[in-house]
Amino acid sequence: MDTSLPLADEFWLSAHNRPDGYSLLKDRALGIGLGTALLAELLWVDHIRLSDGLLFLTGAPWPADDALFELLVLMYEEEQLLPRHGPAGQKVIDWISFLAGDGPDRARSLLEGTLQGGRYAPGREIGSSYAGGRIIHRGRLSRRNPPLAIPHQRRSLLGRGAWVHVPAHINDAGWPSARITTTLQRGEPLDAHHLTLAALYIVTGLDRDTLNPLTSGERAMLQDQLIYLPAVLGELIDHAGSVMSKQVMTG
Amino acid sequence: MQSTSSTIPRESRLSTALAEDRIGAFGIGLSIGSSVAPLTVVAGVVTTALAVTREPGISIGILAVGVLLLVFAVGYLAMARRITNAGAFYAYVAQSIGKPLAVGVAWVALLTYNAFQLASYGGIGAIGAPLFSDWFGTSVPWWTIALICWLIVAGLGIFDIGVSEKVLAVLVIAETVLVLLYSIAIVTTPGFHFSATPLAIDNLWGPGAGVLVAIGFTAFAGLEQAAAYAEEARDARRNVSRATYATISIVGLIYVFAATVIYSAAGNQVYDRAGAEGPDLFFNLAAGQLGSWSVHAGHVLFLTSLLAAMIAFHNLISRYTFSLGREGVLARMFGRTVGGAPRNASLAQTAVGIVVIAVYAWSGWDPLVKLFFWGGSAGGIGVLLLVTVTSIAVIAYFARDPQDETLWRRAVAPTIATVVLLVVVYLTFRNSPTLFGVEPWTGPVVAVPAAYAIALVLGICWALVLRSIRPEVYDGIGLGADSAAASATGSGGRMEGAGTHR
Repeated sequence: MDTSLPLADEFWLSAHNRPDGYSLLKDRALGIGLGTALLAELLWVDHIRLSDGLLFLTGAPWPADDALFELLVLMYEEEQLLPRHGPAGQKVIDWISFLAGDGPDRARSLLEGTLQGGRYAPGREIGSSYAGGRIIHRGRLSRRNPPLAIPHQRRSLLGRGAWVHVPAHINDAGWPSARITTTLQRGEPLDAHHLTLAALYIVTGLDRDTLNPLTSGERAMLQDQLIYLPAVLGELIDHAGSVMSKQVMTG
Repeated sequence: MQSTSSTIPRESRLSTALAEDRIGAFGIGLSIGSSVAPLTVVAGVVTTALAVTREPGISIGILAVGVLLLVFAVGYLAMARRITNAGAFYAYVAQSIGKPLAVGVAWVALLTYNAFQLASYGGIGAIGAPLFSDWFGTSVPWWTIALICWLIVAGLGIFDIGVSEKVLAVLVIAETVLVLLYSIAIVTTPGFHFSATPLAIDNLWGPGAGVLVAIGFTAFAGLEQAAAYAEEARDARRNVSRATYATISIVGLIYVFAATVIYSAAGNQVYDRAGAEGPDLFFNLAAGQLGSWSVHAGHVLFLTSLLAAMIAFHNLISRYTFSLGREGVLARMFGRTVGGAPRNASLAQTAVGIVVIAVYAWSGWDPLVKLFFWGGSAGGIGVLLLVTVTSIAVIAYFARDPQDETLWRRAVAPTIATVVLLVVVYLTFRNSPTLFGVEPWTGPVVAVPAAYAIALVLGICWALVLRSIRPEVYDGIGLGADSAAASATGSGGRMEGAGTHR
């Protein structure tokens, strides 16, 4: 199992770690987790910065990753629509809420591509490369980069159900959370990538399924380590928690 | 790589998408409509109130409460525009009067909404059991029906199966249409004459005034939740106000009309008939014009009304408990989500439900009067207390910082509302033996105020304990999703559950 998967891909796999491959989270919660993970990826490589709840574009060279590229295109388009005399940044909670929704340009579409009706449409095409469906196409489909997910049609009492994505190999879905739990069980510190992933589990409620092998002492160790999450990622997770809470409160 | 899009979009996709996710005035009205439950009020609360209290002035009581709520709403909505917190009452008190009282208010609110939710089990059991016997030829005790409904509510909560908003909207509209249709049918019955007695203003100065107002607040329970949607509303300033004023006015007028019609049509035997026929009184009166099918249709929609109210209040309590758990005011476990749903909070309310049903079943207590009516009336008193404290909070909030609100909104209307509400609170407690139909200083006359007082005092004490041992949690009280105490990760705190605390 490739241990250098992007954060959003690993969150997606963890959220689909069940025998039938369906999501452990409701759509909105999954979207919040994936959207926050994508923003975290952009923050990590300094394409955006976060300050006091506002996201700012840094003008760094464009990323090679299609999903991040697609998201940055949208952010640059939105930046040009900001009022001239208002704050220069964009509200991070608005972006998390937007990315959490359904439809093109949202987090799930950027990762899974678009399933239209009964046919599989692998995202929008940009130039000669595919954008959208990162976990399907992995940049360019090859033996070294097999798809992480495949389309699957749910069974329904009334006949054929909706198309969803499930992990290509169900055993792969458990690896990201297993790395976190085994590291903690050995009493070792987690790196920033895995700390952020653990934080995403907790803020979306996925920890009940992914971190259940941990004892209360090991959970406490995780709590201690979370203090050392880089401040900007911690702030991003805080805002994800706000969006998550508001989503719960208003149904 | 270049984007294939060669033109800059004129409208922000982000803003458009976020706006589409928000709800308008009609959506807010329907969202709170299930907890208002018009048919439950007209067929259930009004008829049971007539039987238990023997007070004629229910119509004027509802009208008076409706007018009072319209005045209260002026300041309440002004505050809602500034404090967008789905916890509403609790948040307003926290940011105006003080955090200890806010925690007490939050616990009183939980008790209030639980009273309504639990009362529904009594109503549906008492009404559903005879119907089950009629339809299926098998006699079942009331608590069997109540348990089946409890299982439905528990299942929906545990598996986070949201009853479609469209389904709830259809039910609310259907029961409202039924109330109007049946009322008009009763009016058109040959020999019908309107009686002025239910609307006589003298009733408000009579010995039963407190009773009438308590019933009025029971009738309007759930309307205050419109402010909870402020954060998610499209053009919140206009739509939340519209939803609140429109719902109070429309629902209030329907209740007044229907209650007057019931009293007028039932004649001199109204109290005895209400006692003998219960909720069937409304349907039987309409059947004279509409035929016997109207009784069956009424039964079906009455049951769905109660079930919808049961689900709506369960969801409300779950979300409230989740919010308090997230802030640390209740145990943190309630602030956790499972798969994105507040499952722990839902399970807690479910547990309370089964305990109450079991106690009533074991004790052989009458579910219609002692659970449905007493529970609903206790809830009405709770709403009255919450509204009164919030009205004081509005005055305190704007007294410190008038901001740009008009004098009418920040001072005059809240003061009028507060004075009247305080008088009403006094009258309600003084008349509570009549309300509950018991001797003074017995049963619910003592238990209900005691329960609220204990919840208030315990909540205040807990807040003071938090101030001492967990000041970061105390500081976040009432600040909702954005509070530092609800923050996720470690910049100053610990992460627990689907919430954050710095």
